[in-house]
Amino acid sequence: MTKPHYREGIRFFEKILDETVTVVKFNQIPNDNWLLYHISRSNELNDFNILFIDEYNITVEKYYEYSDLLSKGDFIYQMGNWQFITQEAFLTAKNDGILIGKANVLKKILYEIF
Amino acid sequence: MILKIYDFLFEKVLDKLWKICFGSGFGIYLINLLKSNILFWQLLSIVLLFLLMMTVYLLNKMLHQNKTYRLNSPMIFSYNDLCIKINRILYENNKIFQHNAPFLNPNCTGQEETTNWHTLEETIINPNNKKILNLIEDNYNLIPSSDKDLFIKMKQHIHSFNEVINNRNELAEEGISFDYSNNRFPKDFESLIKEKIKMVNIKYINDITKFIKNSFKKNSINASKIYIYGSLLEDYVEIIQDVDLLIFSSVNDKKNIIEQSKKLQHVTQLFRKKFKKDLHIQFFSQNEENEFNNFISKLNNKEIT
Repeated sequence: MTKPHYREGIRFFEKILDETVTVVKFNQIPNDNWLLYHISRSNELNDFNILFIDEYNITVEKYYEYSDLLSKGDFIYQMGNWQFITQEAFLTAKNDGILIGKANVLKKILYEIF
Repeated sequence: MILKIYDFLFEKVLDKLWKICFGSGFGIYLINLLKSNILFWQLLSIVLLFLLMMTVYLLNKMLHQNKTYRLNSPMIFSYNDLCIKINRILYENNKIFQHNAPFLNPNCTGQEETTNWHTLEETIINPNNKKILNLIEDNYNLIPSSDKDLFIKMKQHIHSFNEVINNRNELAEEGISFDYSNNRFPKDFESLIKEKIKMVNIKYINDITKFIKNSFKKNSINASKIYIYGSLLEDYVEIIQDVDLLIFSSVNDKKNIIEQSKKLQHVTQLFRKKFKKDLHIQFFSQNEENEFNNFISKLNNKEIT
């Protein structure tokens, strides 16, 4: 967790949390040091996981590498504006019910503001 | 005239003479030490002698450069070392520039990004530039005459940039625009440094290329295009933490992609064992060709054929 963009991404996440959201636990994924947060919400919304990643490009291969850790309704959080995602990876994840996005999407997902 | 004679004497005679004197003196001293029986005094004498030699070296350098020597400057003994040190700083500046310069970001709309960029210029880029300036000035004698003009150009840029940063607010208030056009960042200086680094890295890159070719063949990895990119091509091998590899493959279905992914993880482990560094792989499948081509076009890269 020493990379500056990691710290910024986590700081942003902590900033948008309110009293309805609880971080139940988080795990560190081996090799990449990515974080998997398990979130619960008090306002009758489902629990879900957020995978924090700092990979420059999310390709379909990268998605498959970590998709076993995720299930329908989970979210892959790209922590920096510089990060890209291929259309193939986005659609594959979407078919599995998993969304991939940046900070602006994270906030919407967390509070289901659509 | 006197200075010239001193320089001539120093370069041609004194510089060699003091080395010969020290060399022979040290030899005689060691022989005498071997005859002595008191270990503590032997060791202490060696340490003192080493310190004395280092002092003489630094004084020598200081006198030769005819200016104040910064004690906190890193020890640099060759032109390659100087380029490596400068490259590390340029690399950091470049990363910050690429990620934060508001004029490079098409989505940037607000004042917030501009203020953030100005802060980074003041707190990181300008101090880094000053480090480069110190390195150049402290080691000017190491720069070959053929490259000196580019170093002078860089010094001019650093001075001008500093002027802009320090007077930005006052100039803006008075509505004056500082003419900085002649002293913008010299790209040719950066290219020169990168070229030097490439020469140092070339052997290492060849070793890595050979390893990748062999291990991909051995593990039947489907890769129609392989590129090395990132810090290995831009930085000195000793300081980089990982090697970036970009792969384009003709596989497309889930089963094959996962199979390739597992094989690549195995190669990554072998790589870590051999080179003591991480191998960071980005794998693009057939359906991701456009994104692959788009990404590779933005990179400084080396294809592995």
